[in-house]
Amino acid sequence: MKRRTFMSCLGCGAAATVATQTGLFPPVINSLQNAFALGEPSELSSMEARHYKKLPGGGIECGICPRHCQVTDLERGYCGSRENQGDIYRTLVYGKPCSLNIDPIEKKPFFHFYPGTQALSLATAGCNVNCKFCQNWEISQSRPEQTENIDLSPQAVVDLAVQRKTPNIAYTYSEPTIFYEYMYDIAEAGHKHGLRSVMVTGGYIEQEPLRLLIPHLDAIKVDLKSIREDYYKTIVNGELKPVLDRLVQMKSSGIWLEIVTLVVPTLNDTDAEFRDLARWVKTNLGADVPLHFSQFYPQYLLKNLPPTPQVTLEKAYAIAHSEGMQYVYLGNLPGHPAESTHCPKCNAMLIERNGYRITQMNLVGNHCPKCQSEIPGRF
Amino acid sequence: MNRQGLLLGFFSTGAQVLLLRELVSSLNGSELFIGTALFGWLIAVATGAYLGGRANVNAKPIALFGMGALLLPALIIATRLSPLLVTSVVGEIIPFSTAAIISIVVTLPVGLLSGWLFTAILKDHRADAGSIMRLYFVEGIGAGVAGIVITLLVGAVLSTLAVAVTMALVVLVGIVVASKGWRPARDVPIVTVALTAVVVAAILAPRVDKAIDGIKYESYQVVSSFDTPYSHQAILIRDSTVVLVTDNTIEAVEPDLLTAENLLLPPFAYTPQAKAVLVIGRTEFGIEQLAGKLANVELTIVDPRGVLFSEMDVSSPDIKVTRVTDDPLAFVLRGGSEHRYDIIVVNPGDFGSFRGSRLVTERFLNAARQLLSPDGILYLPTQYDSDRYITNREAKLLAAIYNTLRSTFQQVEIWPGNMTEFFASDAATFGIPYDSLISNLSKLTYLPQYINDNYLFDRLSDFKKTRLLGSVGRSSEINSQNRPVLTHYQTLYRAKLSNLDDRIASLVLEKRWWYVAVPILIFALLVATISRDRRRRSYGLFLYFVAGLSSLSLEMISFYVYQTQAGSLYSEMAVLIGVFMFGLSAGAYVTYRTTAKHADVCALLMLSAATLFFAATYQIVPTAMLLTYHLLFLPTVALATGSLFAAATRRYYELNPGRNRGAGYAFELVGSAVGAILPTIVFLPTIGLTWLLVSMLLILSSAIAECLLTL
Ligand code: SF4
Repeated sequence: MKRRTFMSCLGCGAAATVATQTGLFPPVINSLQNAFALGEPSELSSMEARHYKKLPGGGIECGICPRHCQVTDLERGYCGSRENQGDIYRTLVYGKPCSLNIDPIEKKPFFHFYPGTQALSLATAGCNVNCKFCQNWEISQSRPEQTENIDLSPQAVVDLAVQRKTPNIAYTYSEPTIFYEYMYDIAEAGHKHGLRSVMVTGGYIEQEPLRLLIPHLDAIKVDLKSIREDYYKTIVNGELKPVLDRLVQMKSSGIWLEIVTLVVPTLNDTDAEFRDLARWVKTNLGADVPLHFSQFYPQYLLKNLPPTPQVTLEKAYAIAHSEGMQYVYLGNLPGHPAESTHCPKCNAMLIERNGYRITQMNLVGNHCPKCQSEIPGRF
Repeated sequence: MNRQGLLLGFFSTGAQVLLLRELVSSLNGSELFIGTALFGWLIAVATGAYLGGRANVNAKPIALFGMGALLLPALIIATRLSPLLVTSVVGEIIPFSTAAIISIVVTLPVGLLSGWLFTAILKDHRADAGSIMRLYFVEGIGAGVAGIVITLLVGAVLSTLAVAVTMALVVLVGIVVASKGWRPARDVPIVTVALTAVVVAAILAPRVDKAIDGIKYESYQVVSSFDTPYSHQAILIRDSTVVLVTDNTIEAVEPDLLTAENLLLPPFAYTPQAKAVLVIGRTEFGIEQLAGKLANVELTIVDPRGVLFSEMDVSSPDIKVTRVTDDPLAFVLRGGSEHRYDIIVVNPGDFGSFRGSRLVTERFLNAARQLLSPDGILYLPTQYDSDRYITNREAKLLAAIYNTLRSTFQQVEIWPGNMTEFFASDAATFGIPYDSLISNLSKLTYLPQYINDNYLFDRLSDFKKTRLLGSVGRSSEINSQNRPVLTHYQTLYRAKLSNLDDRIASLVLEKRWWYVAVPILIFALLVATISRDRRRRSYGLFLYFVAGLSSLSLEMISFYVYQTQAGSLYSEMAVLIGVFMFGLSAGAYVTYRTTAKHADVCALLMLSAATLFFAATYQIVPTAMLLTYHLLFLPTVALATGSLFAAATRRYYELNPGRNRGAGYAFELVGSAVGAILPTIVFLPTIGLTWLLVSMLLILSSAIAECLLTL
């Protein structure tokens, strides 16, 4: 199976070459080749944005995320990806991804969502927060004219996913909320071709845009960065409350939801914080929501903090478990038992993982093969 | 006056060097701040001299010395703690612009006092017409002494803080003796108390160093905190993790298996049978432990710094290790031995420092290549993430590394990922299929946790490799000592961390059109000064400018060359600055005392000859002779510029002593400021060292020509 996956990657590479030679999907392939070679930057988009209102005295208020940026003519919102052009709000990144990859779904991480499948993953420049530890700061903290973008319409993304045989499309790396319109249209077009869409987000999005988006999505992974408001203020430059509200909204909508908390040494790694976080999730979202604790690696502004020690992650794991969370995972610790899924009832090994690989898949449909318990997720 | 002058030189240069070293160390170890800190220092000294020189200001030297002596240790501590003021959490990186402001603010008080002291001492000797030059001269001697003392003491014997306290005590005792003359009955007890205080300071300083690091890295246990001749280091522990902090930057962490595997294992995927492995860089934090699990691997480690196992409170793993305490460049250049390595791991660290970027040059790589077995691999892991996208600035960095390796080796391979990794060899080692890589890794006696199929299938996917190859193909630039593009691009890359830095960096370093304005302005200044008066006295102002420009430019160039060849400037900076200051004052004094005609032409010729000689020889200096070479070059440059300064004074003021006394100084200051910042930070990576030296020669030649025309 391992070899097959790799060979399919190679096969896709060969297919891309053949496609170029034979003129199949020329615009897509050319765009991709430009992206790989970091060719000349493309023009910014001028697609009209959604969810904004004109202010009585002139100017615009954006309603996509809780920042509600109010911008006058030729000004941009905080995320740098939306601009008021003559009191028409325009998204500058529609059809302009700056990153495109094929990733294992476990890398997002989604552990209860079609394990072992791949996702065509994309991002545009910009973000509506500014986390000091951002792993993707080079694009998230850039304006779209500062990144090398590819011209890729929603339909071209879908075509590419079909061509590469990736059953999922992931909106990830930076914050997909800021390329809402693009994500929405890809997800909508993707569903028509049987492709699933997953959103990897900080959850800092307004209620209404999220409500309209959810029917086109299949799963959401939220980075719940901390359960402390002051952490959101000082480290994230955002707010906790709207994120918690959206998590509840997502859960009650029925969409598949997983949560990740990046454990940053000295900043959010106390026992009390792990406990409060687990309690909140259990009380408000349920004990069966997968909760991942992932390892911090020195990045962006926190280049001078060491990686999260394994013992700290294990502490988080133990506390979340003791609080009653049923599916707690630790990221980036290959071979660690907390990478795998066990039945919360009989403790049978259901899905064994090592790195991004599924090494054992024992689930029968959605059920534990031993005690027949139903395991939440999409399998 | 002589004693006070000596003391002034000792204090002023000592304080300048200690603060410079502390700034470089506390603000993430980049040499960029040397230029800005020197610039700040010059401005502060000039302002102090101006303030002290005003007729209505009368400050006693003894009071100023006292203030300076007390300020120095306090400023060292303030510098070390300054990251706390400008960051909101432990471990946050400091933007360049903030660091530059800190460096100017920190050097300001002592710089002001130094300048003020110069004029305060002079005021006490108003009657003596030659007092300025004499004071300048003895100050230079004091500066030389300070340089030598600091180089010998700091890191090797005492910590920076202990040396600062010692200097403060020397100045306090010295000023009492200097102002009242030596009286044994009074002074022997004073000296005894001072010596006792030095001993107490030496004993207490390490504890204070540790306490300061305890404040800085709160919530960590500080195991030890110490200065070495290369840097300030601290070892911290939290949650069973040992962290080595070097110059306020995390250098290594144990345990950190992901990094350790990435630093050692990837070349084994091509050559699993490798035995002799040479590692350049620190290995106590994970690499030795990992190598101990690989049967038959023999490790040779080259690092000029001491081993830290005892400080880490960790016993060294059971593996055959040969330790070479030497600079990596010196080690590979010496070559010679019959021993050949199957793998050479070069861990250059941060390219923001010349310390790292000098290991990715044709010179280093060629020498390292001689140490490889015929099918050996040179492996270079970097900190650049190419897993999900590659930005324009990152692409240039990666391309420079790739091209430099390509210029030396026949085969170069790259792995994308969170750490982009480069492999180079002269054998056709790399064209093997993915399955063979995985199978080679599985042959190891240690089963890799991260460098295995579970991660590599994603990391080495065609998508990512194609993108990376596309990126490195975008530029043909090669990193070299002559043109250190890596440091330049790393500066641009890091500048993205702050909006202000990003704007300044793209304006100064990326929009290069303004570079042509520099020679045009210099030429305009030349024309303006020679056309101002018929007797061409104003041309003296241009000479002032040239004196400032050439002294600082050549000093910074010498620092750069020394650093890229010797590996570290931290220890020797003091003696280099000390002898330079001495040369400056000696040149000015001698020229002032001898009424030689055409001193300006002589000085300019001497400067040109020194520059020419340097350009012709700097690359061929044997490592053992490096310090001597620079200890000869710098005073020569300083002698000539000091002499030029005196000649400019004569030309500009001789017939009209009533002219604005500040004008000459101001022109010299502008020249110095340009020399401190532009050549090594802006022009070196753009036009290269050779053309930089040629430009210097052109400026000196035009100055000589005009001197001759305006005789
Ligand atoms: S999406 Fe962007 S423009 Fe809209 S409110 Fe959020 S940050 Fe502001």
